[in-house]
Amino acid sequence: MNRHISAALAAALLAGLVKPALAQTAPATPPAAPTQPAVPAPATPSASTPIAAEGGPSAAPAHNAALEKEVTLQRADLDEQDGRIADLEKQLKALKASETPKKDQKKADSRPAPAAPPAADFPLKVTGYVQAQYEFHQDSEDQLQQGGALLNQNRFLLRRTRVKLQREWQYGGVMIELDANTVKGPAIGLQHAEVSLAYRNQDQSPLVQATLGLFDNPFGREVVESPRERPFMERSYASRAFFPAEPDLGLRVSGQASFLRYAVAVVNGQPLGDRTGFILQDPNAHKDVLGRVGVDVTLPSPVRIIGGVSVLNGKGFHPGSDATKNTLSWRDNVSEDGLVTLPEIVGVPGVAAQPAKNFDRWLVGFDLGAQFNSKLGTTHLYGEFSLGSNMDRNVFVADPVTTGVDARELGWYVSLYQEFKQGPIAGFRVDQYNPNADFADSRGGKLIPLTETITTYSPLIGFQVPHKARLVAEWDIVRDSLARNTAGVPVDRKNNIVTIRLQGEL
Amino acid sequence: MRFVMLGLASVLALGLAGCGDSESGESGLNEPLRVQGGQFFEGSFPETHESGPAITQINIRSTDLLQGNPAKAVSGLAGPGSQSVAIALQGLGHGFWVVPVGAESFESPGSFGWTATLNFSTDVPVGEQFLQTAAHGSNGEFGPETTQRLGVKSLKPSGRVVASLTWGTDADLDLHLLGPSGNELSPKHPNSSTLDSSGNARPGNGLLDHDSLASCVPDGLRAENVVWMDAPEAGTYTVLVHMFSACSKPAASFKFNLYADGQSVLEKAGRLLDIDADGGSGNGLFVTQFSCDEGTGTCS
Repeated sequence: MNRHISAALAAALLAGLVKPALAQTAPATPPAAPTQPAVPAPATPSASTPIAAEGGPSAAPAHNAALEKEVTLQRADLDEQDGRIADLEKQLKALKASETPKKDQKKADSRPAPAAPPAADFPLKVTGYVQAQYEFHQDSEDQLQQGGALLNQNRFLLRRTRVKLQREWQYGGVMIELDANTVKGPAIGLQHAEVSLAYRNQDQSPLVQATLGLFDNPFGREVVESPRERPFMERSYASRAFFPAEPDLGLRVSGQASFLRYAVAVVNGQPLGDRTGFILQDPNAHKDVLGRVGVDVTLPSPVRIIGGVSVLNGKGFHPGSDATKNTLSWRDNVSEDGLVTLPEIVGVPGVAAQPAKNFDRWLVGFDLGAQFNSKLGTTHLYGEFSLGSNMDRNVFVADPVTTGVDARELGWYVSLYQEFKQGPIAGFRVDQYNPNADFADSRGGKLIPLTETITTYSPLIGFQVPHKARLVAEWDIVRDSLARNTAGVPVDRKNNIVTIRLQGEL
Repeated sequence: MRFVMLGLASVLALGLAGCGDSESGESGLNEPLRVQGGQFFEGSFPETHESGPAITQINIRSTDLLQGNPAKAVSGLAGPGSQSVAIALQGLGHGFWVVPVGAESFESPGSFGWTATLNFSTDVPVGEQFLQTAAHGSNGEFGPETTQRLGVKSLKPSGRVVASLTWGTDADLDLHLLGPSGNELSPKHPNSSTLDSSGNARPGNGLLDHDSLASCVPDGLRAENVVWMDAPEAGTYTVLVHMFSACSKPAASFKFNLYADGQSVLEKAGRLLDIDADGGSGNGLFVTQFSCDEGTGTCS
């Protein structure tokens, strides 16, 4: 009985296994064969019992012979079934054996892909994202500045619309990134254009990579950090003063070996967004040399440490002036009544062209960061410290040729943000920038040392779906000395900013 | 949870810090008086106290000025202990300006010099106005107020009859007048009547004051005026407006006014599009006609 049941179960199991297996692979055997003996087998003994009950003792010898014959047939039948079961068990083992590698293969497919695809298969990558936002500025006005610049800054804005095309090969790669925004009206421009030669590690990361083109200045952490990853709206004040925008034109050699990271670059020194008037051009033959050496260590516990030291050395450019002709000028400084009088007509003598001059500039920086994984999610804590001379190219533009004094600049920030597992994100950053350590102000007729330091506190809160979308609100509390109180003493100007940004990724 | 509470508390504390001792960064561009490099404070002129330092001297080269004067220099001395000087136009605007004092005076030891460059809006009412000043002392109080009379003159030229064209964008518009004698006044021919044989203007001649936005150079005026100092030549005048160049602007809305003895007697408005720009070679846009009587010199 048990053997019959076992046979039936084995047949049913085999049928169940064989069908999907056949559906996945080419059919090897017809599926109908195992089902035939399994169904009628239990019926045989039950059919024989009524026959015995119907017969009388007088017919015993003939009946015995018949029974013996029947038993013999059934034994033969059972032997045949045993043989079939043995065959089926063999088939079952074979099928199970063939299933195991497929499962292993599936597991292998679900593992994360290696850092770079194998040499024979480097696909073209197209990525992009949009950062759309609303800004509220405390110092906004419904006026135009002299020259036509808008003083109203309470507005909807496309801060960044980036599309990146990237293709890598075993020994190099090409990357092009375009940016469109409406910061100063609609504008589309080149953000990155890199062509590289590379010698790769086994995990396809570059051991040595030489890049020519428009790339991010390899200095510190913020400049090379993608705005797509950074939860804060903009880089810190000092970073924006030193590097008006991240990219510059030049040659970079970079790479990594184990936990070590390095990058050295020679660039024009007039980065994108430069406000000295020569964006992505180079008015002097001197090149800025900069670089960073650092580490990226993942400790056995879920902690990742990133840090490095950066330096920059270069030459800034002070433009001269064109030659001018003699002119006549009316200055209403005698009668001050809008009417021309003879003493108010003055000659302005022409002057010869004034030559341009170069000046030295340098910057050193130190960055350190840590990333922790916990039950809450991922915590990021990092900071940077920079010390420089004549490096401000954006906010308080350094011009030591005119002032005769080198501007000493100092900037730092500390940033902390938490990515919660369920999607919320919260963070805080404090950054400080002192554009001129030698600043002085007149007070009561006397020059006294004063600080022009700008400190910004930036709490943020938001929600993100990793690699898809992020909604963040940030409040920038700016403390500076750009206004004066009724005593004429420099005090903080009301220029805090609230920004709400929605980022979506392709 | 503790982290969240700590974070919220930090943000609140920072928020309070952010709302602390801050002053407005308002430009004051919509004020009738603007002080270059000064700090604008909205509100009434500060309360003054006898115990505060006094303004001991105010120097202004000329107390007369035109509406829209761009740079009137004012300087003076403030008494001992002064830190800054508050400046305002009495009864006008929404606040006052503050400039810090400079170095101690050699001539008046103990007093501090101060300077300010004043910009006046074209909206400053014509007539007598008063400049208020007061010095802020180290005791935190403003000293006695000092006022200086100013005579504000109109930007509009004065004459018995004035035909005035004003417009709203930086396009180069020109006022043309076809006079009774058939002479056409324009920037190239600024007289309304023909000159006599010796090249002198005849009685009743009107003169164009200037060519505004010539060659698209902004002058802040956007206005041209024909001025008759005495009774205009009798007859009918036809007013035409030419768009010499659109200066990259899509359109220019304009207004024509005829003033007789300072009173507006005729007003018309219109608009020209950039496609109307003719470089002075077209017929111009007909705006209106006005007539001047012989003898009385009245126009309407």
